[in-house]
Amino acid sequence: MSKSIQLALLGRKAAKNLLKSSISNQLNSTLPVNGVLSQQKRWKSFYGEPAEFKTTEEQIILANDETASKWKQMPANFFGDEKINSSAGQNVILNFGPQHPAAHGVLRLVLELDGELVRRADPHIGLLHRGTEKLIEYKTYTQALPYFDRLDYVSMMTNEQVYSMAVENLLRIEVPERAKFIRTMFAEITRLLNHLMAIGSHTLDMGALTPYFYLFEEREKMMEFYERVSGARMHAAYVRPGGVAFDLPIGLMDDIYHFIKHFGQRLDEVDDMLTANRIWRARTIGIGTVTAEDALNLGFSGVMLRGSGIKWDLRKSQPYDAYDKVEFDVPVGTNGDTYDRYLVRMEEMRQSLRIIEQCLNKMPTGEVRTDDYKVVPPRRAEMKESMEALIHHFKLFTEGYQVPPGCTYTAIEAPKGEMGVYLVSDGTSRPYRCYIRAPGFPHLAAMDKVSKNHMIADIVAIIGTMDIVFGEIDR
Amino acid sequence: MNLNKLFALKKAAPISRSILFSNNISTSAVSRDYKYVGVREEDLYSGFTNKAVNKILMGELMKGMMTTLGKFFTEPVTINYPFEKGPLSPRFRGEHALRRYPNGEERCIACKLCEAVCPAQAITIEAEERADGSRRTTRYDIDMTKCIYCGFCQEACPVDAIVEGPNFEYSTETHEELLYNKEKLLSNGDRWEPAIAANLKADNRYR
Amino acid sequence: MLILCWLLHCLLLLLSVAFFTLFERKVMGLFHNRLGPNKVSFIGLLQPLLDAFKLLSKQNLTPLRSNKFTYNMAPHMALILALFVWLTMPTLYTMLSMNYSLVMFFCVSSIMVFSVLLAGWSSNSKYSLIGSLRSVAQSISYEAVFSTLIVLVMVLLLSFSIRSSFSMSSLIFIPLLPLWIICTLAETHRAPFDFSESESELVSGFNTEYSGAYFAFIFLSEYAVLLYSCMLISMLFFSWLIPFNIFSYVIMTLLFSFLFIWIRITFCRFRYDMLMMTSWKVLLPLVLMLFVCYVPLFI
Repeated sequence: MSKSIQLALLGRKAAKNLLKSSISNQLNSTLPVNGVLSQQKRWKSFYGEPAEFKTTEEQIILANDETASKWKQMPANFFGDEKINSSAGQNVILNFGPQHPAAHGVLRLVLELDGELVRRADPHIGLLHRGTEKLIEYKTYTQALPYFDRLDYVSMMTNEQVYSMAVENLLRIEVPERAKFIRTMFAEITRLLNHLMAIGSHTLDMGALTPYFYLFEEREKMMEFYERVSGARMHAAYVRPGGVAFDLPIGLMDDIYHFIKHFGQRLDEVDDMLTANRIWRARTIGIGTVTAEDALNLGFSGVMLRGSGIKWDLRKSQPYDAYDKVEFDVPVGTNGDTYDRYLVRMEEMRQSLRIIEQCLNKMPTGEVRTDDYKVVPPRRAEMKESMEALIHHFKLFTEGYQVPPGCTYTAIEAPKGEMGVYLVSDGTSRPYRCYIRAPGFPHLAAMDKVSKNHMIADIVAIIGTMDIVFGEIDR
Repeated sequence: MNLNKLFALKKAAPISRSILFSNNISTSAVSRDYKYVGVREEDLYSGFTNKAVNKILMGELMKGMMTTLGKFFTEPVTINYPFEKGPLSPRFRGEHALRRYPNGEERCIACKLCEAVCPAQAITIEAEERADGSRRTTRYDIDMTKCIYCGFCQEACPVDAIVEGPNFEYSTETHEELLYNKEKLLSNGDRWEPAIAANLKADNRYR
Repeated sequence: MLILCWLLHCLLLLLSVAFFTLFERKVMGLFHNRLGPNKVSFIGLLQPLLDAFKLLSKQNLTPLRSNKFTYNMAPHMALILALFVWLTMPTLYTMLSMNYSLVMFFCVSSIMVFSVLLAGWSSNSKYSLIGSLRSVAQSISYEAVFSTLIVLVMVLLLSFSIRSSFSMSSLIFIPLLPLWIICTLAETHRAPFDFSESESELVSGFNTEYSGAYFAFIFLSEYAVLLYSCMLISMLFFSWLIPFNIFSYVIMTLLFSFLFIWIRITFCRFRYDMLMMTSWKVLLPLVLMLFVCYVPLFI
């Protein structure tokens, strides 16, 4: 039996161990058999001898010598960048996740550890893949909307917003002013939601238990605003192509005002607990530093980009909705490390408060949906009285609306970064293709680069600062 | 302190961006709209003495501890769930229900709009003519485990028959119990009718 | 009689540890603006007993390919050592009148790290292994500081016994208190130095693979040592309060356990190399300096 057959027989894991533990040239024919037998013996002693899995040679040969001789042998250093020196031992491979308290969902990181130093971090994704992009191709434009809530499930309305804006771009319709302000206001509330989650879970990962609870209390209040405006605490389905689903209920704006009035104090508390705290600073300053050049090259966006000192915010550079009518500053970091990104998030929240306040003050009156009944269903009262409106209603809820052929890439500044939708329409009522540009994806892809030569504790900090949410990464 | 900062920033208002520039990629950002954070030297405690005293007396650590101690003496915000519940708005989208007219006749006319619009394809309807000639459903199933609670069915319904009511406590032990049929939905409607009607009335002007 | 005394001692100790965990959960809850356990009986008073019942009634799982003997031994060792530490506590019904109680405390608490090491090493999990290695490294660097502190205390007391601290002279120890607290935090693996079981990094550190009764043993031992540390602080540093109020010793113990919980919820975790750095570069010089200052002054 040739070497390669034996390797094939060993199964993937055993072969991997073998290849790693010995330099390929020294691989003699007796070694693998001994290795595998000893392993099997231990299993046998534990599980007893299984009848159907006799380890005779006849049963386990899967390929003949001829076929097997064509197989390529894996190089000895296949799993590591450096040459493996058998006398120096090998690095520990630590499987971080997918069920890890700091994995933020279903992140699986394969870490190669040298002591506690991480030499290589290999993120494995796809555990939350639901095929959203493909699903959307089989849904009408209306039906596709709720799926966007479920992408980045901590900043729901911005996902809807980017999709709605993409559809509006294709339809070439303008949204009423009030709807724009409502969208802007809720986009900023969403930004607060997201950053509270980001900072809260970040601090929790770093071992500070308490800010998480204080921030989640505030998050709860904002969830209530979501619920009052849309009927659902998270998956709102509120921002629709052509405006928003319903007008703001009476009293909501007052409550939002009261909320933002007190929210600054909550931020101050977190500030008091963390910003100057020497432990927090020691844990974050200089950790996960991304240079401005790297941040651009790696396709970062949002806080990850601004933390590195790049002045780029889609709300400023290409204002959408009502962002050109409100005043706010965009915080930019200096050193591009975890601490700066934390500061950027904190400051962004304060700026969001400013924007929300301006939206409340400037909120125009009027309709919240465009009056084009070919796109937006008529109001219920009208639908019940007018035959034409009823026909529109039926058409819109069965067939949906036709979108003129064309394509668009529409992007907004979602809390995590540039959330984009590339939408291709072939003139029917269903999108031909919908590509979603999730900001978290490039961030996670840079995991190895950012976290190289940090310690395990810093890996957790870096995952936190990247603000990874698997709904959008796996889509 | 930071609130003051916030208001100070509000006063020094930069010129609002013109609508002309919207959706124009070449618009370059005005540097005034960006502010730097994280300049390390500029700290809460300036000067060597202050810094040294803070370092030795652990000033910022004490500040953090005082913050948490302050919270220790505030009232807990816990809602004692099964006995207390959070507020719900009239728009809340919970468990589905099929409503009836006040005379007991079921509202649903089997137009199948909800079935058509449902993104998760959770609704299955079969219909035929009843003995008295009116069109009614013979089967109205909702797979509550497929449903994504987007509320499109209640928006689609021209007769306000299917609604998502205010009930959110309908967890079951088996999957089968969550495959609702027409009887279950109608009984839901009967049970929750007062709440549903009140909600619809309250939210009527926005729909 | 001696055995009975000892058993009673252990029983009461375990009971108090159980309620100490309830105290911690309650206090943490209040710090977080929530209620903490409040469902079981009256304001959750029976919670720790039910927890213990649940843990003890669970099946003991041994991970595949673990070193079974060591794996099973480590929790027992941890618990026995924790009870052993309590022998040194001068109480009314103590059967051993120890003249070397400080030395004994120090020795036993040093041996305790072996139970952590064995538990982590034998459970055949990388998380456990890293956790136990961290804990050993942490203990070694902290014991350098802690032992110097204890020696300083012994020199000042001119005795090896905790009992001799029961005098007004214990006032002079007060400047050592911050250092002592930091060392105690590191010694008992409490946040912000809880590297050996840092939840968010190593799933549960050295006790990741433990469940059921063995987990309960490890848990009890940790809290028993923590409670002992609080007692020790109140005895060494605040025994001058006893003439004013006979219960001051209990009150101070409670206050210090509150302080430990308070510190736990306020600060985020240090990093393991930073702790070593502070230990060798800041605390050890500091404690040596204190030593040099103190000894000529008071002898």
